[in-house]
Amino acid sequence: MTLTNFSSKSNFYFKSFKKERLMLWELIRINSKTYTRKLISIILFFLLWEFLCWIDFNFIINFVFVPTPVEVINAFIQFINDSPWVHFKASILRVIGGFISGSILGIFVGLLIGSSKVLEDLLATPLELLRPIPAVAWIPLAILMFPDAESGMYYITFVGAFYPILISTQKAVENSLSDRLMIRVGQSLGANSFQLFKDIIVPSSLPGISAGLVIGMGNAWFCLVTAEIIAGRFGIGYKTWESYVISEYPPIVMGMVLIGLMGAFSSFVVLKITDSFMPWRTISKDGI
Amino acid sequence: MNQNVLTRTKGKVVIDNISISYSSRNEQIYALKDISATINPGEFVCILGPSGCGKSSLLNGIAGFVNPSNGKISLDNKEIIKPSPEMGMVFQQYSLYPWKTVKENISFGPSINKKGDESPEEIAAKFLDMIGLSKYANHYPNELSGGMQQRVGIARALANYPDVLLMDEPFGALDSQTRIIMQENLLKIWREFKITVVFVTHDIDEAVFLADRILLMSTLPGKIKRDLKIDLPRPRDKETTDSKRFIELRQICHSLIREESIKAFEKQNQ
Repeated sequence: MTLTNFSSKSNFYFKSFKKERLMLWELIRINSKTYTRKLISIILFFLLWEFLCWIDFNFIINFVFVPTPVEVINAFIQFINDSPWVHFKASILRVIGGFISGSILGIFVGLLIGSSKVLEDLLATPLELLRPIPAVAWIPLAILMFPDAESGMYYITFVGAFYPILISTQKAVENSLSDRLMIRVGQSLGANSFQLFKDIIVPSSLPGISAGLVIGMGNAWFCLVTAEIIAGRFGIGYKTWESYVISEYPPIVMGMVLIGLMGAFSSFVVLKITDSFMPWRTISKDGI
Repeated sequence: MNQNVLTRTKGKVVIDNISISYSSRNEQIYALKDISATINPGEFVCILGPSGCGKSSLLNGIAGFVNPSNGKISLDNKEIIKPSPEMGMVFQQYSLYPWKTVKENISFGPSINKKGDESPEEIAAKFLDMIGLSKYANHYPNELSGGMQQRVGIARALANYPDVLLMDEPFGALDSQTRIIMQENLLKIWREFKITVVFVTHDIDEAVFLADRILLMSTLPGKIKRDLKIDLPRPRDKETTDSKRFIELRQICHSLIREESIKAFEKQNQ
């Protein structure tokens, strides 16, 4: 009972095939442009930094004591030659641990308070009171409340990751719930509340949750130095803080750069993983 | 085929003296007042009226999204109080789930109300074939044109094998060429399924072309002004729209609608 000819089928197939090849080529061309632009911006950034150190720039901001990129690279080479993996491993574990526990709890609680007024009334206020407290302020309590320094550090990175994930999830769920059309479609197809939640509310909240996860991952790295102030002998954050205490400047900047790089890289990984859950999304910025 | 029409008993919608009101700034405003109508099994009924006459409210009432403030609507002698899969709805906007593929959009209904022997995947494949979009089974809605999306929307509503198909200006956003093709295909689907269709539109040509009966609505508050039988022969095609009778019926609708539009316009400007 095929309905006749909206268009010849073989013709359709051929067209879409041709279009895909064209798009792939376009994609490479456009991306090579953006990669070049990104590379140029990074080179310019380092040149500007070197230049400001070289002229001992001192107007409002003082570059006299700032180590140059070359000094930082030297500090990095020294660090690499001096068994760096214990530091990397310690820091990565702390960040990942805080991020994963923050994600699980943030998404779970976010789904709850986003979809239920009662649970929002019960949970949101205390959470909101705790939210503005900066990670640094948690240090004394983290030391007092947790059995050892390591779990205290996990707690600090957890605090950093938890809140952005919580708030994004909550807001995304509230948005999805207020999309009356999507809900009505589900109801008219016979979905009950649980099916509406599982098949409509959660998938349509995914873009918001994903944004929360990316910010949460960044925030966990953000809090790493703070966490590693607590104690210990290992960690990129610890290394940074120790260098400051003993007034050795190049390793400070090296630690900062490493944290920046690893934070950016892990946020990118989170972004790619969450994107793979949303193959339906096409993002175009050409419209503006 | 004729026998089937005679034996069709499900899909009778009775609208029994209903009013639908909403409150706006402490004022009770009636979108619909004292409406009664009976829609017979297998009938194609268009609800036609100018914008703001409450035709969408009436459809939402039949769908069970809105409950009437008094009176009742029933489907096969069962009062409608909430949406149910016995009534498929096609919405005005493109309302496909963007995170589901075309195939998953269609099989969603069948997968949550399992009935019969067919698997949801089989049903989806069958309906994709019917709307001629089998090649696009694994595409996402945003990869399809508006007309294709609305075809999937119709297939999705039909995949539950409903007794009644409710359509809220489904072709309103399409260009006029696509719209005509969609109308012709809808009539084919309707013949195939012998399903009751309630179709809301403000397009006179569309209503006359499609309907067995047109319920013409008046505005403020919405009432049924005229129950007009469309006695054009079926199957209808391009030639139908050139016939003398088509033009006559269109004329009748036109003058009635015009009266209402002017009334509504003046009332809004008071």
